[in-house]
Amino acid sequence: MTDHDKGVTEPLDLVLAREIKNLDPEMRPERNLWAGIERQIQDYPQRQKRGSLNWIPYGVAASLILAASALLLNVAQLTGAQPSFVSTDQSIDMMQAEYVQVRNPMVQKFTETNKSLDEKTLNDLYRNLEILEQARRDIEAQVRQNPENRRLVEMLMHIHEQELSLLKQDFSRPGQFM
Amino acid sequence: MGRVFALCVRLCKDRDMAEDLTQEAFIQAWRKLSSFRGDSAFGSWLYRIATNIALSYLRKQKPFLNSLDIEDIPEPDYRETPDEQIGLEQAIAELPDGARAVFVLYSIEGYTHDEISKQLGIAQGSSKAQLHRARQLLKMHLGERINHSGESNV
Repeated sequence: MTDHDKGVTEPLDLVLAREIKNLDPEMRPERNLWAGIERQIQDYPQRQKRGSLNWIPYGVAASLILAASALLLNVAQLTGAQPSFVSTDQSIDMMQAEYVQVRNPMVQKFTETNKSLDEKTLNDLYRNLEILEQARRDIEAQVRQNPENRRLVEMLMHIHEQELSLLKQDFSRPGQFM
Repeated sequence: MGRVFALCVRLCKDRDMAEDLTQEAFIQAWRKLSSFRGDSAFGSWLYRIATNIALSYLRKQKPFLNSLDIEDIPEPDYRETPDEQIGLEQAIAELPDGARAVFVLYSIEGYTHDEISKQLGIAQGSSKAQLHRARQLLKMHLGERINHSGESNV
């Protein structure tokens, strides 16, 4: 319910206001929409203005949308899925360690490579990267809380892949990316 | 995902279509992500995109456009299902299209009449009238349900 419903006095108004407040904020689609979303995102023409530095926010966007969208998922909805999967804190730690081992050198190189960019672009870039990193950390925390949830683990792994892919692509062919 | 889908279901009341609209919302969000400046929550931004997509779909439907005419609102007959106490969700779904859209946007999503009138291309007065009609119809439904419940308990 919103503030708009304040001030109602009739009994039925109150009943209606209460029922609106009790409406489930979420509904679950029958189809797995993520597969279609991912496919269409991948099919979307990824080249914009060749040679322009505007590619950077778009580049980060590719990863950020996956991370941020994932955060919108109702974790409670996910927790019942895939009971057959067994994961432990140890395996999550290993996965994280491997990821950090690969990512850190790339981030260092990323910083060096992008020194020459203008201030606004750099700010955009780093702000987006911060958001992305925070999103990843949030999902990691969710995975630790729900280590047996295969969908969450898969989501985290997918975000890792996307982030690494982005960092790699930025270094090698910045003028041709997107 | 669940919140965006709920919004689309309530606006267009067709679950299959709502799934398509939800998918489209996320895809458009990805395409427009560079325009997201972080001055609002990401969820709110995504929600706005979903609302625009759902309303854009509705605006292409002739029955929806007709239903925005406040003079021509048919009344849903909740009495058709006396043995089944339908919930508020179903009652909302059975509202006339225009009244439902305004009700969902105003009472559930928190839009103002000014915003709704711009989104739907109607006067603010029409938005208020549609909301009033929706609330009347829903209260009628609630009244019947309460009465029915009272009779059942006798």
